[in-house]
Amino acid sequence: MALENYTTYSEYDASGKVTVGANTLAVAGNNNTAFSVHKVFAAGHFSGDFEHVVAAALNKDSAANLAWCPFWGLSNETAESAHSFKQIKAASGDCLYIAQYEDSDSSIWFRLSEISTGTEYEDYYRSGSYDTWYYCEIERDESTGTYGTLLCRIYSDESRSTLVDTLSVTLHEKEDFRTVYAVSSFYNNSNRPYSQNIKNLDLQEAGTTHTVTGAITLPALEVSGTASKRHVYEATGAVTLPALEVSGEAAKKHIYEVTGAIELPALEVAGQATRFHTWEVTGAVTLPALEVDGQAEIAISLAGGGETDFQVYSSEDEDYVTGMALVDSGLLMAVDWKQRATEAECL
Amino acid sequence: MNYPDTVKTNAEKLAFCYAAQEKLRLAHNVVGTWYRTGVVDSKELATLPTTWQKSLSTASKDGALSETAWKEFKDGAYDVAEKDVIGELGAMKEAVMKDAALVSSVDLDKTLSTATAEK
Repeated sequence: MALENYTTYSEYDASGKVTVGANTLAVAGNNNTAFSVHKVFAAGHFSGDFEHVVAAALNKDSAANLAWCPFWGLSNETAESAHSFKQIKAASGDCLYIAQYEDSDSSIWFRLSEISTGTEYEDYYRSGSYDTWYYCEIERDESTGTYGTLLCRIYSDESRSTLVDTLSVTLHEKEDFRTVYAVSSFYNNSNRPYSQNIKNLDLQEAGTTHTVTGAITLPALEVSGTASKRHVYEATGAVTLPALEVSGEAAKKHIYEVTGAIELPALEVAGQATRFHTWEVTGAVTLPALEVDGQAEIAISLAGGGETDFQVYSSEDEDYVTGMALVDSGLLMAVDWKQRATEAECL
Repeated sequence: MNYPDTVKTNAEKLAFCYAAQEKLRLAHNVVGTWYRTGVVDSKELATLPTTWQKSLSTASKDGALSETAWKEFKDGAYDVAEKDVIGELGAMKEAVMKDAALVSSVDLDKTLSTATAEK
């Protein structure tokens, strides 16, 4: 939500009754003079429920002149001239507004009004003080009453925690409005001068679009519990990722998607390691010669069993040894191999 | 909104609505002071509706009311209660203003101080 910038509003003030600041208005008003600072939105802009906030103070001047001093309102007037709620009423128009009113030297009123086809319905608070800021919440709640209810909560403090009174007007028609008033005259209600200050109108409209130029500084993110942070980058060209910082333990995984040859890093083992090679090949395979430094066992088996003669080279005898063995369940020989295993053969 | 058994006529109901609104305003300001100062007097706390006492005591931390708890109270509990009363207040205003029986009971000769009646 954002405060309205009064300098963006239309000011119709030929007599110079209003001094306009960004969020403040100083009004040297008179009910015999027409003036208004207002903004015309698209038709039906103020529809359904709404809540506007604004602050106003009526200043004690030389005399209590029974002046009407409007400081908020809605209508459907679009004329490029000063508007007046009194004139809207006289023309049998429609509007909503709130005004301060000088009753006497000792008290001021707040008057909350609906004007429907020229008929006025109002509620008021009669015990306000001069030179005192009052912080108002003006709400339309269309779910209360047949056509809704217009409320004005009047607070005496800026935090809006001390409620002075709540004014209410049961509405007599459902109507959308398009023109909002930061201030308006109550013309023509005779010569009734007054002094008023108005500030910090906030229409509290969600989704208000602000067009800005220059850098935008976002507020720091505050998290009372735990939070996780994710970055999503859309970039062209090289991307440099920030260094990863981990206060506890972390595991790192690399996933590569590559085309072309892959070179694996050298395997480094601090303790023992076992290496397995698996080849998938086509064509002939030449196995390396088997060399055994001690004794080896050779198993011979025949398909279907039976007996077989065999010949084995004996290094001890430095000659071939021949023999015959039953090989129903295979022949197991203990041979002191100094030669190639191929020299043991069945005859 | 519920009326006591003793409140029967529209005029009595209207008066009761104004009284209920004022009681509600005072209760609002007990919580407002609690939010602003960080403390609440136990006697004042006891003047709040029971459901408010429970929810606010649960929401408060170290005795203070956070801004979040305050806004939840205002936008939730208080606004709902206020509109309940104001809705009935508006209905009773209309009912009293258009009370045909009351209108017919008015004798203007006896009512007007600038009497038009013969003396």
